[in-house]
Amino acid sequence: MKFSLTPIQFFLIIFLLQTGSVFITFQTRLLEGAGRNAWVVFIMTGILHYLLLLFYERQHSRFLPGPFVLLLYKMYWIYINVLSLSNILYSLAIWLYPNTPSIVLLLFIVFVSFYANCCKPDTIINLPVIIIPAILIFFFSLVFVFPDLEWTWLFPLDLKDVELVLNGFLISQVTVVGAASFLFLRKRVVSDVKMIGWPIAIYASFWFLFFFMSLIVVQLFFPLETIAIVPQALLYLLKSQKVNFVERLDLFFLFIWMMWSMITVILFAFLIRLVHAETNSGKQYKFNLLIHMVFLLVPPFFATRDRLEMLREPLVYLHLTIVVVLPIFVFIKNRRKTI
Amino acid sequence: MRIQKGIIIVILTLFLSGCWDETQYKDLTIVPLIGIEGEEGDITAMFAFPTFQNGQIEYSSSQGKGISTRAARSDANLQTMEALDMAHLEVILMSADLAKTDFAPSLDMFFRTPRNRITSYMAIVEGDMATYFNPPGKMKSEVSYFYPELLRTVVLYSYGANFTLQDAMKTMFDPAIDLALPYLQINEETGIPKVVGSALFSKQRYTGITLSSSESISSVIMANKINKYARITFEWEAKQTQITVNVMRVKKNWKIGTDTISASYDLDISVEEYAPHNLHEKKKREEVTAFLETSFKEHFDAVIKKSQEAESDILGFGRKVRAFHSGLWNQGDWQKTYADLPIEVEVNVRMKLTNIAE
Repeated sequence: MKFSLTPIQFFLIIFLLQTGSVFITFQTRLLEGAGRNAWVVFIMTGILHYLLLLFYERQHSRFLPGPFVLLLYKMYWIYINVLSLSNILYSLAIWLYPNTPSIVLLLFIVFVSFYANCCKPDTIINLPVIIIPAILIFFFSLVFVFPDLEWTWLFPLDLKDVELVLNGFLISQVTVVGAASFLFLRKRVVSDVKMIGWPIAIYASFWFLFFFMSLIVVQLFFPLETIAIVPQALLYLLKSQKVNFVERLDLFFLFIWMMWSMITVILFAFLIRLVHAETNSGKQYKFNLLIHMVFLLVPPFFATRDRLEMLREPLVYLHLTIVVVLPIFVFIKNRRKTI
Repeated sequence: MRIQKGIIIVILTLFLSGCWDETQYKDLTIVPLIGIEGEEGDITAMFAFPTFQNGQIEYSSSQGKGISTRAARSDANLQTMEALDMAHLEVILMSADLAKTDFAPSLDMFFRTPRNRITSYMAIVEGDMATYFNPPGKMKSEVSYFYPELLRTVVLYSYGANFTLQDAMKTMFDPAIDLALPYLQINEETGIPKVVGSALFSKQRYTGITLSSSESISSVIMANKINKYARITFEWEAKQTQITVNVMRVKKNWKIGTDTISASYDLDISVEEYAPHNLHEKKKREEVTAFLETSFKEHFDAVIKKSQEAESDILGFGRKVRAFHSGLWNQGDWQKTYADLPIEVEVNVRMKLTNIAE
């Protein structure tokens, strides 16, 4: 696959891959796991995310994985897409389409992804631009709830409870799931651009601001005692707002989230194809069809509460293996070769 | 290409088959007002809804009984032409007797169902629920229209704050604050429902103690939740006159000690009504300000006294205590601690407007 990325395209793609599948759900799980420590835990995650990107940037030229490692990445991203699609089906069944058969919704999403992935790479790498106004709308929507926020809910902290902090830290790692794409897309960025310094700092800050704001708003809107009984915290707080231009702010936002998620699914499918093309020459059409058949057939099976939780359970551990351990392993292996 | 065309045709056919989640108004009845009474496990619910008869909108009501609110609605559905739909609910009335029990499960169907509106107002009513759906007095409008407008006035004139369904549920589940909901009675003279004050809750249950309407405004001022207007009228016996003021701005400063609380308030007010008309004199303004400071303090002290009697921290001192004063918070049950805590109130009034031009 021949294409190149500008730094803005590059960061926009990574941003979508990191946010699309989790930004609506991670707040509840983090608050359940870390309690009032959640916001401090997420600051730690933000710092580590920045250091991870710096580490990737310094070492990316040494990232030359073999076929087995590439296969692991493909499997991981297929898993992420199946998880995202199952989550979309489950959320839509609760909030918007309780009576619509999930296969119909899925067919619509998967078909768009399949069609986009049949097009030239230039089509896909420009897709995230659609989301830029949605990001602004998202921030704007959250401003409505500011008068209802209760600042005392930031305290008391219980950072001495190591188990609580560690648990929260592990849960917060879901916000970094798409980070591994950095290593595969970095070499596509036009070569004369330096990423160390402001570009990575600005991206990491924006990523942090996006997640942190959504977390803080949820933490300060709901008493900790109610967070477990609210179906989808972020949607719920938007639903609680009375605005003149739309009856239900949450439904308005839900459509934005659907579009956001759909583009993320397309981008993950594109990444899978990109990695597949590195070891398999020739036509990619059949492989594209195959992975989309998986996306069509597997998610409905997991779109129930128990199965979704079962599918989500290994995410953090897989993520830490794929995003941290595996790249370090590849860097060390290639460093030895160079020496 | 043929396969691709075939796939597109199949998908388009799916879109042609219509929307599974379409809900048509002809199949259901929108309920703007519901009244709940009874006790958990034996709920009676009354529903008021519009019907079209002879080309005109008329309001009707229906009653259902069941082991939960949802079951009561299902029962009521059997007596109405169309299914009752709660998606646009505006007011939930609850009987005082039900509010004294563990009533949170009765509201679950409204609070957690994604389709339902959670910005509906909540209020407590005294006596038989049916009286509030068919009041003995001559109403100028239908009850479905009357209660939402009445409770909007309560918000606008700061007789109450934070009594939508979602505010109420959030407050109820937070152990550091207690709920206060508008309290309605049937006016004996007119036979029309009237907001007479606020019902005080302690740990998710109505205590049976209420604030009067002027105390309710005072409590809203003390919580710094005033809306567009917050008017209070004081009787100035020494001068044989009355004075009505509107609180424009509140600055509160709560100092939590190891076993005391000091609550200081700076109020910016405008004088709305004052018959002596002598506020152009600075000395008179100072005199009136001093009187207002004393009167506000008396009102605020009365609110504290009543809320402590009810073990109901409606102002939310507990939130600050929990966040920054763990020693006091950990003394035990917060409502009990609050009831015994000495709370000193201080009020400073700044007369910003006399409503008389020079």
